[in-house]
Amino acid sequence: MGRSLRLIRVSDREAEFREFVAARMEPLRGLAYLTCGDWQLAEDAVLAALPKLYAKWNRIDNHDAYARTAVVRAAIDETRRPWWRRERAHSDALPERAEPDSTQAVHDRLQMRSALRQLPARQRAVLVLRFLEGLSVEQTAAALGCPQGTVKVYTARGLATLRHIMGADLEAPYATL
Amino acid sequence: MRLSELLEEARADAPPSRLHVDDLVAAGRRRVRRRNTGWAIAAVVVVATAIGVPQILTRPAALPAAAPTATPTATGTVEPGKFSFTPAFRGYSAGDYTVGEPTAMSLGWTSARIREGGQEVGLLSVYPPGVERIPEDGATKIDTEPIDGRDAYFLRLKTGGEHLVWKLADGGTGQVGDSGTLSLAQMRKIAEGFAVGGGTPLRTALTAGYIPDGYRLFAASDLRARFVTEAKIEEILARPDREHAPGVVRNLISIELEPVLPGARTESTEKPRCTEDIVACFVLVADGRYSLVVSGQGVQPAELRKIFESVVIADPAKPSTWKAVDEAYPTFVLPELN
Repeated sequence: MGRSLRLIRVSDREAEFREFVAARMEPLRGLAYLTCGDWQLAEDAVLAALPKLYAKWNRIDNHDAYARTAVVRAAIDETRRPWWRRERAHSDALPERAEPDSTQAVHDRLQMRSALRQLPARQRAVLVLRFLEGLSVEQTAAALGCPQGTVKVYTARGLATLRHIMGADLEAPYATL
Repeated sequence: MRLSELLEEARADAPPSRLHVDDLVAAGRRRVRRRNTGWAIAAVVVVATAIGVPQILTRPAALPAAAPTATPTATGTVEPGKFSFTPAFRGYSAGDYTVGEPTAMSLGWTSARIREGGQEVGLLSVYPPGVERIPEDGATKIDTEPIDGRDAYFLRLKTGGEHLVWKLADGGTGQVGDSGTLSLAQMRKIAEGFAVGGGTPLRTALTAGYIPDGYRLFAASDLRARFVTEAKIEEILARPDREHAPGVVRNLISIELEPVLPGARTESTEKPRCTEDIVACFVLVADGRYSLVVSGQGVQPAELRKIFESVVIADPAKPSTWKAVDEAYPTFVLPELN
């Protein structure tokens, strides 16, 4: 009886986890990419983070928040690995390839990616969590495991750098420092 | 424009993912299984290896001057006072594990892959005497018995997985790292089999006859080389970890052979091509199995093209045809140590 119940719980977990991953993997991969600046490292970060979520599935209330935090932290760590991953991360700070396209969207995309690369990984993570994911200073601090003051400082510095690169008309509507 | 919209746009146009739901479920199951059986490491590398490596963007083909024509060379001697890309150790076996010959080296570290039955299960990194390891953020230190009579400890990483770090006989530091499958005891076994000495020059499938004046080789591996300015090298050598300071490297040249997996997108084509908007040159080589990418930051497009045209590729699948890194580029690129 106990074994049957456990199997049902495992089966439920797996079904729910599959559904979650199917819906959230792409946004999480994008989140990791914006944090570490490299699609391959971003996938490594997702691969490092989501199995942890699977293992803790039944003990976590907010799966999305857990996954977001784990993925961003893993993406920051991916930029710090000392061996050839680190190597790769450095070189992937090189300009990224894009299909020839003159649309404004592509221009914005490349310019923004280039601008983000000028920021340290944790500053990028702060900006992405706050302005893409819409987290508050408090939530961002909790996600990154740092003081709220650090989040405010990183937000200010990151925005200043982006404005310098992107132009002064960059709107950051939640930037209440 | 709103920052949120720009960020959303910046993550658009993602390349196809190598990951599938099944991969993540399988990795999750392994994690649970290991936890339940007392194993302590996350399942990252095994799955990553199974999925494959590169995923740059698409298309197939042959080089202008670059073709598989390099010939093997004997070990050369490096001028006194210059850095030699010669590791301080050789590959070895430790029980069921094989540590291969070192395949990558920078001014601050050397690394070799650890395999078990052909499967890559970890990485050995060696830091020379006087060079500090780059610390992992938030890692927890766990004491363990000395290795070969010298200090050793495990580091449990925030992201899962562990490193074993120990002091080497020559005063350097060794690290067995983060594989996803190794137990703590297995990591110790690999460390216990390590010995300093006997290293032979690092070899590479790449050579380039032209590198602009003022650039120095910072890091090299079997399929890659990266060059920074002489001033940057001095800055790196002055740092305790012999790494880049945080921030952007303004002048950089990268020469790389990227494996092209079946079905993967690549920017390279059979016909060599260079772009000037984003300074880079591409071509498919070795029957389309690899993409040669020469790219630069702070480098004139004409200079980059000249480097690209000077590249010669050995057969990436035949290490016996490769050349010593010390001899693969103009001799002036080897950094001065004094």
